[in-house]
Amino acid sequence: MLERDECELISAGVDGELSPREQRRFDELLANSPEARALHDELRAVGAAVEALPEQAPPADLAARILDRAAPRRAVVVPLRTPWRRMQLPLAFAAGLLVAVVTPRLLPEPTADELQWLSGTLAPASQRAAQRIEMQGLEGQLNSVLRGGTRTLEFDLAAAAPLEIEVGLAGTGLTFGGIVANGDGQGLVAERIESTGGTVRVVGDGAAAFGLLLPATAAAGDEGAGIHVAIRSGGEIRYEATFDR
Amino acid sequence: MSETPESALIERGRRGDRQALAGLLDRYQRPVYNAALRIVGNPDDASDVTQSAFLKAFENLDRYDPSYRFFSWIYRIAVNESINHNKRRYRTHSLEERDIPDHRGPQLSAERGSVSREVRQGLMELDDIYRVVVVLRHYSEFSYREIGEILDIPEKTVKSRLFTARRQMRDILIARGVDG
Repeated sequence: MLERDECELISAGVDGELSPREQRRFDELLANSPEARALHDELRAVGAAVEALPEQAPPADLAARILDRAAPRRAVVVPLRTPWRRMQLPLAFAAGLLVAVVTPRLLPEPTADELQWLSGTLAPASQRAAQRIEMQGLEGQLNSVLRGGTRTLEFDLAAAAPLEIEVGLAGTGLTFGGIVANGDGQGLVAERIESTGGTVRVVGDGAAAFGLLLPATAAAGDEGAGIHVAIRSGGEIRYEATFDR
Repeated sequence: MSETPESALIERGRRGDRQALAGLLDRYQRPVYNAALRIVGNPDDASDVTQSAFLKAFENLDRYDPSYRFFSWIYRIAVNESINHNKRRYRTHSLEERDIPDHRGPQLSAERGSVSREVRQGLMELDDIYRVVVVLRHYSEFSYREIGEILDIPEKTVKSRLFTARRQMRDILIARGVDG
């Protein structure tokens, strides 16, 4: 009767996955045990039967369907006009008066001007998860809020060094729908905002007060991944967390 | 004419170049579809899984680690999609609605159709964890190390599962009248 490890050795031998030492043991086993030879032949026959299954061509239109549904992957860069400043965002959100900086994701055929500004009011929050951030060189608040069915991430941060905020949306079924700030007439301020490949990056100086609009994609199903947030300052990750979509 | 290097397609794909994405699809659509077909068991579901896997891969190209083969990476996504698909299907289907394995005996099985059909249906009788290693080894021809990377399990687990899977598959094929 073969031991389990001998059976696994024979199985790995069928696949050519043995070390030199195992190979010697395998050769000896097969030379001396009819049971081992029979098992070897059986396992090899099973593998051959699966390998003999004919390949099938994918549907002719599958590649085209995938390309059609692949999100446009060009980077969306929103040019902004004034330096980043700290604003009392929670109060502004509470009042519901916001200025939206709308990216091409919100408008089908944007012009250069449409990249800049729209004014509006966001729906009231129906669900809110707040995280207070207090660590060396970085403090403030991060809220994950559901507004009228749209998830928003709201940042109000101050840091000792320039900030880079990265929000990963891969596998969440959410997409970047725009960025909003409180409307005090000064506009949103950041050096650069990019959205590409399911990742939104906001880069600016040592303060940040804005919200990211994250609507569900048209193709969203029951994706289970959370929203990954990483905040870097001074070249180091200061804060990292995953929020429920 | 020389083929565009895979790394160039990935880099261009990251910038949203549709031709590059089409190039990646052209290379890997067929093997991914066939692996999915062997795991989920029918062409419609295999198409859905393939579509979903490529969309996720394209969406996450920025996170692709070039120290791994792209082929392994897309397989990893496709295998996870296939397993999740099967879980959803088994959750939502009642027992009566599910495909019941056919154990009508060797003689009747031989009358019913080809060896390929019996092997394909026999494969579907394995649990997902065993079916996947059989497919990755015997269709996709991955090494134990690569299978371990794709499934995020140690090589020794790959070795153990492959033995169990082939042993079970042998019993299933005998029951279905397919003689080695």
